[in-house]
Amino acid sequence: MKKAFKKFLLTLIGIACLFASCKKDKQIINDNNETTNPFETGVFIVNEGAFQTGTGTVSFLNRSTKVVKQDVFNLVNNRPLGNVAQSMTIFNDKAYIVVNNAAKVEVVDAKTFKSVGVINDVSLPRFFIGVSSIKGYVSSWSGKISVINLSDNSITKTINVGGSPDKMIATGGKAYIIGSAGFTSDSTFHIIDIASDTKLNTLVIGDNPSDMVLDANNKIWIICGAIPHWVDSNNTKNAVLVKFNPTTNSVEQTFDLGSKNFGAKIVINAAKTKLFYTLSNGIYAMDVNNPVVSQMPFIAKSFYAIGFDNTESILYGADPKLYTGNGWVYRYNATSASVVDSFQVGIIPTFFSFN
Amino acid sequence: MNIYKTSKRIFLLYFSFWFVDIHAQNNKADSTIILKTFTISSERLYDFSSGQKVITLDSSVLKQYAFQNISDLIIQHTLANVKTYGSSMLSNIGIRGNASNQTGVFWNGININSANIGMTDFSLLPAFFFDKVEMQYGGGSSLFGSGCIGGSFHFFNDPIFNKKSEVNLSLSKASYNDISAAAKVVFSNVKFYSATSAFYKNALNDFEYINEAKFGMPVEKMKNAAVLSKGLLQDFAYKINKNQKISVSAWGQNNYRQIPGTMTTDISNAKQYDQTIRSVLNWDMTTENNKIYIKVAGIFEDQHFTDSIVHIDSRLKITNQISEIGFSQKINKNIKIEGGINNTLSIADIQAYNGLRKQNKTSFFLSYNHFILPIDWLVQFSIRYDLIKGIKIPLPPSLGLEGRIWRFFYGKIYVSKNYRIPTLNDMFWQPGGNPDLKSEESYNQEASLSARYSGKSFFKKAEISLTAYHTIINNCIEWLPTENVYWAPQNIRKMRSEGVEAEAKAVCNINKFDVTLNSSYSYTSIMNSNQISVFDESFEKQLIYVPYHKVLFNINCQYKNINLTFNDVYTGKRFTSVDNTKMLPYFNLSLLSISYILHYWGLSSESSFKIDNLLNIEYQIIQWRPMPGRNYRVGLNFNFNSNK
Repeated sequence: MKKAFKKFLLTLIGIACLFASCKKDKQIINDNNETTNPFETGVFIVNEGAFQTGTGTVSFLNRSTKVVKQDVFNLVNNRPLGNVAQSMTIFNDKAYIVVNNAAKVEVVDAKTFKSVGVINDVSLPRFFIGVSSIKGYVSSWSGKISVINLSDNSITKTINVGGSPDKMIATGGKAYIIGSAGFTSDSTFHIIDIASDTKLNTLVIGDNPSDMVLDANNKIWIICGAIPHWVDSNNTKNAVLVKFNPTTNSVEQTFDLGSKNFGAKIVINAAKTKLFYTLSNGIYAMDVNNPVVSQMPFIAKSFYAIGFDNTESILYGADPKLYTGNGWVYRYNATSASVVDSFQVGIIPTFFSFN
Repeated sequence: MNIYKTSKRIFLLYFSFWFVDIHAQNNKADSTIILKTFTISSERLYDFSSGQKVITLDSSVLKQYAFQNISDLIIQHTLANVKTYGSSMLSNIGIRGNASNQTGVFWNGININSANIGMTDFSLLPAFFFDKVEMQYGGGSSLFGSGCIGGSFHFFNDPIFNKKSEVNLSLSKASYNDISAAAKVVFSNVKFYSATSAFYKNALNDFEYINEAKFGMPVEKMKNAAVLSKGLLQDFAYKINKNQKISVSAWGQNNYRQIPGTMTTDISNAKQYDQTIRSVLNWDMTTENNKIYIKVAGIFEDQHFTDSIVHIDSRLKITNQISEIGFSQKINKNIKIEGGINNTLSIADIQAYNGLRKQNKTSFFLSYNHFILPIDWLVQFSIRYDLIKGIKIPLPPSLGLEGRIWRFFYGKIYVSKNYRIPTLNDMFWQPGGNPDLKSEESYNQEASLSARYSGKSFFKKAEISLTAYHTIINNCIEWLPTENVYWAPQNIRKMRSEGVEAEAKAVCNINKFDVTLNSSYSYTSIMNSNQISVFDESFEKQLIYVPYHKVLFNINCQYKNINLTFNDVYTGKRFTSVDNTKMLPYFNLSLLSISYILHYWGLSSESSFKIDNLLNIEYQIIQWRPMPGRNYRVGLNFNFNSNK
């Protein structure tokens, strides 16, 4: 019996050791011993983050050193950005990072990336634009435009436009908003009066408008990626490019792009004279003063998102690769279409912001 | 302290601690003898699984989880990898690092994995409804069919004739506004058996947690996490005569739950309704040397998910009709064969499938078991042939051996080929569904060594076993982005897994204390073994959410009417990114439970008290899905019975 009891004691000691070795020890990695304004100039890449349970990240490219830093929001603020990062707009030295599922817009100092505030309770936000020095708009797929007081990041008003309002452009005292095919097959285009924050008009200009830019002639170019018919893909129409005149509120011209891309993107060069848009097989170029639909892609590689850096005249393309792992960004010379370089970013790169 | 070092230390400690004293273990032939009386559904699991590793969770363990779901039980008592999205939330379980759709789930011998996605949500299975749970490790397709690559779970309701009639009432109150009730009425005589079980649970799950995803790490309360679950299970069995028996089990369940957002999302109003009806009718005729049986089963699932924020309103209805006819025959004292035909018709009514989709599967299976008396070894050979129009399904043979090596050392070897048929979702989901998919196929091999010791004094029984396995899976189905924006599944991936499992058990007696010690450890390595593109960062990397190390420890002590249980589960770090650069840290979950039985006037009452997450740790199983801290449960059970 004595021997047996010894054994039992030994067992108990074993258990005790098991627990002793399981002490919690958290490590916080912080190697943020950089200059005071590490993000003053460079390129931000917004990454959506892994499907379902991931968190969005922001990667940062330093143009001169070519060093890419990953997840700079977490690096500086010690917390994740949230699920799913959508876009980032720099306005008045602040960066507004829109986080879709988290129903928030994180506001950070554009130079230090330190968190300076958050716009909460914007259900399914998509984009932010500043419309005056004290006022901003956040579009959201809940069918609303939220009017933001930029001094305290509060929502002062919501403008109900319906559908899935997405990208916005402010010009001539008005905001132009595409109603993208978010959850429903929305094909609307909204016009809002900025002074009174009221909706003036909703137009139908093309199927599933997915992106737009403003050119040097003050015309808005809207790319409409068409509405997908999953079951019968032959039934899907081609993407179209719409030239819209905001002064007369009318469509001036519509170009059949000959192919389709439900999430088509469009950017414009620094002089605002040359368009770059994506179809499923590559990036196409078009001169705004001589608009002819090219049959050949300018860059024959498909991208999830594109961006144009005015500082260096470089065209950026985001390739999420397998979507589950890190994505890549390719940089192209905007005149010769030759590859400058490429680098790895976070999971599903989706938006570029240039500082 | 470095996490890796910690786990290594635990590993070493674990072994040093067990090898101090015990030379012992688990012999399969032993369980075959004990379990001879089981129904045909489990016969395949016992008589024809020689060489395989099977563990049993019996009613004494199940009883402690009477108010909880099977997921809660499995996370505490097995080496399976449980991926649960929160308390009472979706729970996917895989064995040996494999995905949950590579894990078979059976209730009274019928496959209850959803035909739509080929997996089961274990949080929807109340532990109260089962008399016994078996977990089979490793390949099992030759015995159980599609999806048994990593292993399988088997849930049983066992009719027992001529035992006793009893009425059992249980009530429980737990943390986070959890109220549960369960009742079971059993009537049994020589010819007839009836058991009626009912279950009710209502919980808010409004626990507090530190939201480390938010600025300042505020303490927040779970919102939109309530669960309301109701279920009824009826078993009938009738002995027609000396040889013939007929039995029916019918199980209906209605489950409503709110689906909370993650730590990084603020608002959620997602809801899910699950209604299921499952029934099995079984007839069998047993004589001394043979048995024939007919089994007919129907499963109906209705799942309705709504999320008004993201405008999702999806409903799926799936019906499975299963019929099986089979036999088993003793050729002589040492040779037994078993075989049969199974037909399973699955009908799915899902909006995204663009109409009703059907899958009709016919399976032929045959097993041979030979007891080689002179050397005391069992040899088993099984094969199964599945037939579905338009799908190429491999033929999965298996060969198993087990027996005594020397004195109290026993060995097992199991080699098998296994497969998983593409699910309806893989084939028909619009957009992307690929009707040309092939089956996944795996080559599994494992061997185990065990020692078993029985004594009279301190250690009444001690067992220790060590298992090593290696698996290669080809044609793994993975959804990948296509040029058409949407994603589509392809047979593109190859995987390799290998691992080691150690189990130790001891039953000892100290004065009036009956002490049972159970402990196990697993090392699991599973990775993608082909690189599908140069940008594939998952190549040769551990699969996400699969811990390398898991350690279980359980001690149960019975003294007179008092029962004390302590349970501890260590789950090692798990990667959350495919390139293995991001991870969730390890966590250690402990549980303490005490119960006390009182007898009076032919009635017995049992009071129980349980503390979960004893050390009150903050942990996440799935990233940004908070889990509850230390929580309590009180239970009261009344049992009236008439022993015949």
